Amino acid sequence: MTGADIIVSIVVSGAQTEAVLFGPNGVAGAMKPGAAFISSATMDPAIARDLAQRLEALGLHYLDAPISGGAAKAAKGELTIMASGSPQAFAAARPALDAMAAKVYELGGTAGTGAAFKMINQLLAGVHIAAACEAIAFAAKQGLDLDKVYEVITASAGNSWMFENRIPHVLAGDYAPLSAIEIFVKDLGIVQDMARAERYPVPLVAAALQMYLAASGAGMGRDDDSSLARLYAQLSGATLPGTNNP
Amino acid sequence: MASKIAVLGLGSMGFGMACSMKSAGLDVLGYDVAPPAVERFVARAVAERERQARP
Repeated sequence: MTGADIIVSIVVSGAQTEAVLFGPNGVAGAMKPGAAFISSATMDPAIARDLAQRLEALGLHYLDAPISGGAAKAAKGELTIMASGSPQAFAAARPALDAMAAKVYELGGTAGTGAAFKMINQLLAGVHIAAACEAIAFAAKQGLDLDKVYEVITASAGNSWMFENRIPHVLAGDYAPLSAIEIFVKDLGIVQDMARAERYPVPLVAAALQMYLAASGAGMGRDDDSSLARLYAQLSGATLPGTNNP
Repeated sequence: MASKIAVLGLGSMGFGMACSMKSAGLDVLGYDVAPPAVERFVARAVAERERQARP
């Protein structure tokens, strides 16, 4: 760690990022002068701002750099990175950013802006998954041919990136986690906290979050987030294609 | 000299990011609290080196 020019942190939360930096044996105390810490966990922008200020006080660089694109694009170095931070942080982080990302959006000169962009993405992603699962289970309740529903909807105006990406898991009955229910329990919770602080209403986020909470409570927290369809099926008596994690 | 990178967290995203930086020629060290995640990264790096070493 002491020899690293760049540290890339891809833990789960702001709390974990804080522990990595400033907890017992935290890396902040071991980084070499001028090194950059690239923080890619999804977190409340206020936490990103706080972590950046504390690290910068030690003469180190913090780049607020949430990611999107999924595991397949991560492995190909084709992520989208929503970054903000000082010009010095961008300069120090550049070799890693170029290797990881197809697109690096430079969104501002201070930490927190990248995190705020990411939370807008998570708002949409979380609501769209819930909507897609609600719709496919409703189709199942009516006894529709679900493969046909997928074919028709993906060619129609009701389609979404999430419908197209997640509903194949439901059709295959495969809920092995590519991204888990608990991720959106966390992320929509952050959106709701941010909205409360801004006195901004988020009724769609609130409704979706209740469904993620119910799925987690029913034992599906570590399963794929398309498990919301199973939750709707359990609530309604709809029948979905066979599952490998009943 | 290649930049030295430490990657903290080798989950589904971190593993891919570490691999893509390694493929780009950076000097990457991977860390995770779960030993299997580290073993997976090391195995992948060794396999890539052997593939490159073949004539």
